[in-house]
Amino acid sequence: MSNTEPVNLSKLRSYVGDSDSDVKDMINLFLQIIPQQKEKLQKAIQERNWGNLNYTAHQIKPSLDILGLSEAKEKAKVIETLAKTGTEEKLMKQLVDELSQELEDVCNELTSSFNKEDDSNTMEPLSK
Amino acid sequence: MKAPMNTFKIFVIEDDPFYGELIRRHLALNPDNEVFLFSTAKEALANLHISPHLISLDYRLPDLSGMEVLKRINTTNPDIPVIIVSGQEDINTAVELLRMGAYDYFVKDDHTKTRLWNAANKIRENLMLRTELSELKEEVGKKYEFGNILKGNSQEMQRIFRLMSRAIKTNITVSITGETGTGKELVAKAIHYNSGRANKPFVAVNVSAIPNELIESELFGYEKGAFTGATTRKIGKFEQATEGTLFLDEIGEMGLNMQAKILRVLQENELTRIGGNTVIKIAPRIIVATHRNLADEVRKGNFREDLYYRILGLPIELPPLRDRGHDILILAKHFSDTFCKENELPAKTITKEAQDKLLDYTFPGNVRELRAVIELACVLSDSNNIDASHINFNSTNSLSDFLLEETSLAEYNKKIIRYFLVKYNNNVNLAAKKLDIGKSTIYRMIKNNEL
Repeated sequence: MSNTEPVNLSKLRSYVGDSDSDVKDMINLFLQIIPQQKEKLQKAIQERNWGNLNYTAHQIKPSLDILGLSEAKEKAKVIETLAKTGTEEKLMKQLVDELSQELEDVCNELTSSFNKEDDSNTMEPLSK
Repeated sequence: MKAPMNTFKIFVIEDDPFYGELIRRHLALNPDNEVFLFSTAKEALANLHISPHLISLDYRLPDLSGMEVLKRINTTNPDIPVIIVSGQEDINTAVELLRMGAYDYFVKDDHTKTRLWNAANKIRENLMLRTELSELKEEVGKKYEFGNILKGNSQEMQRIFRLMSRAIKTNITVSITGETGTGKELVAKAIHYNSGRANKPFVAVNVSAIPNELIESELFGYEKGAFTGATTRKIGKFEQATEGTLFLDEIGEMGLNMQAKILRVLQENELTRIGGNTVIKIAPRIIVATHRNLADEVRKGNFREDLYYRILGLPIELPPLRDRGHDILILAKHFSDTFCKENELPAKTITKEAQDKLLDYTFPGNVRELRAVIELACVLSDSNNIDASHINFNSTNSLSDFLLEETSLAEYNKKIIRYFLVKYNNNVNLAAKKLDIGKSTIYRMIKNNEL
């Protein structure tokens, strides 16, 4: 496990209410979507398709924000800004790699917590 | 009327499936909301037939820009409020979208959900109020359907109905004349609520009830500071009625000075508020009413001839109740039924004797008087019948009192001559002249102690 920033579910709960099943549904959705977004980011940087990179980085920001991943969100914001002009390609690649890694770590952490939660029937490990 | 308000339908157009689903679930926490989630603009536009009451639109979508989507919604469904939810904080974009008609612009941040929730509540409340208002207007419209407002089968009333039907088809000025109590304001309302202006205001002004010095400010309004006490701007009746109908009741009582001002406004279709400089265009439909014979008033110099012709338009002369024959009984039954229903009394039958008594009376106060007589009869009657003893006339009109005392023609003659002698201070010459009889006739009757 890397030292990626921890997920915070308080904002998510403020949107969907206190129902654990709703929180679970949303995390499941997050786990489905984020790997696809990560792929899109990687593909865009490989193809030097700055339009797609800008769009995907823009699109992913709210989801990261909802789970309290503010550092990852800031990284996505920088990628979005740089991709607008297509300059600083090296920096963009570095940031996309870092963000991809963080997203992967977050997904792993969430999956692992889910498995634990299934045993203990509680979401506590993720709630901050 | 808008779509029924069983559920408040919200479209969330959001390309981020996670964020979109989150907003959908959040808004769906209110059980009154039915939330539809679309990830592309085209998909949402194709479903506009669902008639959403609110659209939350992500500014940046994969297929169309938020601006383009807003334009298309404004073209096809301009009444749907669209809230732009955007990750961009560009103030120029926000201003441009609001200028184009967006209901609001929210930046995606920690407050988005609260803002959306509050906006949805506010729009839903407004919509409910609008629906309620629309239903009330429909109800008022029904209330003023010709058949509901004016009861009667007489030829006179059929003629009035035909004139009213013509009046509602255009914006022609209508001048209603008739004795007091014949229903001039009801006719004016019926014309308004059956015309194309039914959803706009009906503004009634009783000219005789407003002091001369106030009528100008009442009709034209004034600007703040126009005179002592004008602490705020006031919109006048003409402006209030600009898309609707202005009903000037008892216009015959208006002073000559004010008549000149009204004429100018009616000719130019514009006015200036007292104390103001701005010329304001107005276009109300004008209906006037008077119990006076305006043509006579013109001849006497009490009413401007040019204004008379300007307001004459389609003249509708309401017949007095005494000329409407059996309409009296139709109206009496209607008033009795309505009063009993409103007061939870059993319905009453008007006996033959009571009907005859009503038909014999002249009703100087017209329909208004008949209504009062019938309502009193309903109260006085302890049974399910209204009989002659329950019918009481309290007319202030000496002629009707005079005719009520049924007597011989000779006695009527004496009463008439007595009346004229009193009126002209026992001046026999003048009384004889007014009655077009010889003064010797009066002297003879005095001599014979007949008067």
